[in-house]
Amino acid sequence: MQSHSTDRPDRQITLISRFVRLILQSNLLWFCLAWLLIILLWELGSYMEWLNPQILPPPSETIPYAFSGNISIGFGQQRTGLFEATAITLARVGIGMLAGLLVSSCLAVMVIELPLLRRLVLPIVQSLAPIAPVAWIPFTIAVIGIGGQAAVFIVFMAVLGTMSLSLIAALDGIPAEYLKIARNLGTSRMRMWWHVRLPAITPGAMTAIRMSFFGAWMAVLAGEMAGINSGLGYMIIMAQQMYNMKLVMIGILAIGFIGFAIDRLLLLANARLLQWVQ
Amino acid sequence: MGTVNSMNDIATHSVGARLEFSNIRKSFGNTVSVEADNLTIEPGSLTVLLGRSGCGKTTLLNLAAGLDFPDHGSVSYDNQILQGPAPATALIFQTHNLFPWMTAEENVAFPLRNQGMAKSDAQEHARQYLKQVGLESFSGHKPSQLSGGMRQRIALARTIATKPRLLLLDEPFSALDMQTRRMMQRYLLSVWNDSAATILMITHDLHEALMLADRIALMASSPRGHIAEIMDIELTRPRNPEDPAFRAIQQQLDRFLEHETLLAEHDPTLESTDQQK
Ligand SMILES: Nc1ncnc2c1ncn2[C@@H]1O[C@H](COP(=O)(O)OP(=O)(O)O)[C@@H](O)[C@H]1O
Ligand SMILES: [Mg+2]
Repeated sequence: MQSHSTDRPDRQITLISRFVRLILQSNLLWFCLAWLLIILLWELGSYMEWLNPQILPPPSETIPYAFSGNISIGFGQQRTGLFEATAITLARVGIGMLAGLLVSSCLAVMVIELPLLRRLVLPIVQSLAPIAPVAWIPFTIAVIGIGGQAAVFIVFMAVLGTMSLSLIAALDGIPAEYLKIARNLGTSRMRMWWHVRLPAITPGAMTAIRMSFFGAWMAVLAGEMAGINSGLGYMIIMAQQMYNMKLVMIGILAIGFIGFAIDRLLLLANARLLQWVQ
Repeated sequence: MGTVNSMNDIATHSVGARLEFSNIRKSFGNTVSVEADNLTIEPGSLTVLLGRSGCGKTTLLNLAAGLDFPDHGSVSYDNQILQGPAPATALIFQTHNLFPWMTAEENVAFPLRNQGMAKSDAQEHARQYLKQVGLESFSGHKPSQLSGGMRQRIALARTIATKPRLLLLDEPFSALDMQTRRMMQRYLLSVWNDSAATILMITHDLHEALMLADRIALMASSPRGHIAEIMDIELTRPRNPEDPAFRAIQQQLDRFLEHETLLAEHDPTLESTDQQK
């Protein structure tokens, strides 16, 4: 049963086939395969001259360029590198979203604690939420200018409405039983927020953060392309103006890849935080 | 000696609470939902509210818990009119009793921590209470990893940890299968025997009511929710469903409930609504 059976050839075959099946089921494998296919088609397209290499340079040039380590564009003060630009954009998204989360949490707490305030705050938040994040760009550039603060403000405005609404909805959606039981168990106001309401809304809040990340990511890049003078979006526009199409492609791929990676990270954080959800 | 080692230690040395509903009227919107003219619940007694869904049982329980207030009349707790959450009162519902983000042990320790008990002491106590319901080996489990019956047992353990004087139960065993429900009924009776707590319990299960109650308040929903009849159940304990006296009361109550259902069927406004909120 135990030691001899592993030597039997049919057992080995089932082991191998199980291993193969496991690999075929891995999402990573298919992710890599899909990209390999895109790169091959792209290379083939350039080689067969279906694509203009001036506009869409082939991967055999683009990829080594991406990893050459000293990608930069512009001169003097305007000079910006890929990694520097990416870091700037990510920092803006991070700070803007953190500020948005902070302010919307305060709003949500006030709305729950002070029922009178709900009537005043809710209509404001409800009218902010449907405004497309990019719609804040012209206003922001006009009022704040084209510096880093403007980009952070765009992110902040992009996430404030939806985050507040999601948090309030999550708080309103807590099963009444939890609150009733907690109240009769003598839970203080602080402990109610910290040990009951906060964990109860964590699933909703995490989803809200993931959703608003997309809005924030789009808005900050659009802002950087529309006038803000640094960051990943700015680098792409610069590259386009200087006709460095390799860098334009790299920038676009970086946007996709980073957005995807962060979304996956948030999903992973979700799963770790929310093991208690049935 | 240690802290809580036997069931006897659960026993509150204070007596159960006395509860009195007088001339209650509670409305939601324009329609009166429930009325209760006069219902007195004696200290240490076990009273069951029995009636079909929508007749206002949960509403009355919320009033007793001091979580909601009547539009007219009053609820007194030990002869004082309730104006906030009822003191020394524990609640158990059909579902959502345990906080799913806490382990079994954390759930039981939670009210002790509320009272300012040190963390390690609270954990120690929690484990002892879990032991009393036979679930000490599940102390590190989250509710989602436990069966419905286990969750209700843990809820009961947490309840006794707070040494309540009043226990309010809203269809606590309705979601359980028959065997588990019988077991939980025995658990509840032993908790009740070992403590002096007053129990007010809601059920729509006639058999359950007869197995447990000192008194049954029969509720009817026509023309509005109200207490139709109060019956003292003077069957000896432990109760035996085979006992002819048990059967006789069961049949009598059955007829009442049947009549109530017939009335409701002819009243289109009384579509049974069992929504929570
Ligand atoms: N918060 C509420 N808002 C509006 N109507 C309610 C509310 N709570 C209960 N009701 C109504 O009051 C009646 C009694 O409800 P409830 O006490 O939950 O009945 P039961 O527990 O006996 O099923 C029902 O008709 C229900 O629709
Ligand atoms: Mg009910």
